[in-house]
Amino acid sequence: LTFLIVKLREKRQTEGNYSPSNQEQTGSRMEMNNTLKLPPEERLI
Amino acid sequence: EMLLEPTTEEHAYERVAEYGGETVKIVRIEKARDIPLGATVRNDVESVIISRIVKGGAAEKSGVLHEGDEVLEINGIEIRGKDVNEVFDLLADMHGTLTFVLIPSQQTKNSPAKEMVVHVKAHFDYDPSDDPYIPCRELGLSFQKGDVLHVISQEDPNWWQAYRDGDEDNQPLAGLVPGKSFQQQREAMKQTIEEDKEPEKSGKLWCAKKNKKKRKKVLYNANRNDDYDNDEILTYEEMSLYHQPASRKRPIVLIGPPNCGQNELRQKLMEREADRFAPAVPHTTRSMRDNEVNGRDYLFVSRQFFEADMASNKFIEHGEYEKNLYGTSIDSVRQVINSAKICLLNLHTQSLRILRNSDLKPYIIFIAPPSQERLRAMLTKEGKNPKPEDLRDIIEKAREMEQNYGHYFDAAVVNTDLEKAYQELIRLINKLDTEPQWVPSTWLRLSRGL
Repeated sequence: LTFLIVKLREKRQTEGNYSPSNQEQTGSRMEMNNTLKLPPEERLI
Repeated sequence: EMLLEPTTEEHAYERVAEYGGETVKIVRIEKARDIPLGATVRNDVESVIISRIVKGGAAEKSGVLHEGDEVLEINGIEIRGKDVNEVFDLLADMHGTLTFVLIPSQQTKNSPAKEMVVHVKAHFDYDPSDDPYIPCRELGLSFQKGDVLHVISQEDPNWWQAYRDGDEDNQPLAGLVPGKSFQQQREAMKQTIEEDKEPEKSGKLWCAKKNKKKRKKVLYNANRNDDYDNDEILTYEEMSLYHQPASRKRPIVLIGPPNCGQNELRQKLMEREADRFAPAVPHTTRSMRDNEVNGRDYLFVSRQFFEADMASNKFIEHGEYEKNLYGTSIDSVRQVINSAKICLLNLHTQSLRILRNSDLKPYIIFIAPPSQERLRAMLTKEGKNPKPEDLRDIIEKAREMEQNYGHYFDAAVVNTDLEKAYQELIRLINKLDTEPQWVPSTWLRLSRGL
């Protein structure tokens, strides 16, 4: 199970559309982006 | 063509077909007007991908949509190439039978094992509208410190699906809350950043800074996520329902800043319902006076005896007064519990940790001050003449207690009027007889019997 979770996490981490330039402009939370990436936007249908 | 398995609902069906050279799956699902299906979509370049299936919605119940499925068409409308925001708007206006053309997910779904619901108490406030990290803003579930959440899926370790206790009926779809390790990680980072930002200051502010310095040493350690002993960052605590047995009443602890009525309330309870409540008999090293009875007023012991008990952590709290030691022992509380009476305790906040880590299953009630004006009126009525700074001190003290020990509290009573507060207190205490309460799961697991 741990393996699965690690796998899932890895997968999610490679899925983000990470654009540092955008985040640099938005400013305040920049520091956190070193390790926490913004996830791709999801909308509810 | 094969008939569907009987497990799928009538209105939902699956078919495999060829579609522009690709093998696709066609599924039907019924959508009620203005009620979302309970699935989220994300863009992957040109594609629209089913990203998440939310518990409690038609999508989850039908079982025909899967995470990772690509949506090509819905009711003949081309979806590939659309932005998820357009898809959101489009679906919001649709209802009735929806026919999806999908490229099925490549990811092999791990066994759809029945997931266990985990109940947790939140030890922090969460406002999804203030969180840029939430993957789907519509699904964010806001909660406050002390709320109990029913976590029904941890499949995505970063974003759990949950309901707030009591909300399930009017809120069919689960909401998203940050996962425990995600939240710890985020908080750890915030703390580190705050320190880095802190410019070098000298003099008076040093004391305040010292506190933060201490935290820095305990940086987030990914291998210790599941350790509930992580005192530095409070996230969630697993809870279970516990029904107080008739013969073993939970001790009631009143806690609050001075001059907020906790002593008066305790006194009232003892006087008005003397047959129900009893104090824990404290230990003392003071010599017994003529009118006193050993075991009723105090347990009179030698200093040597007292210190030995202190060393073996037998006291919930103890202190020194006029060169004599006084203390309330865990065993004294246990004796009251065994007599089927309700043990009433007034404690300092520092004692809560010891008490909560014992097997005494305390019910902790915070006695909070009202507004400054109201507090002034109350104290004046009692013949005291408080200065404005005294009042501010009391209110500030209450705020600090709440901040630092709020995660231990089971309930709070705002004392705007002693009689009203008394009634509220009695109501809470009586409720323990009739309604089960959330307690830390560890209390029940480690149950050694009193």
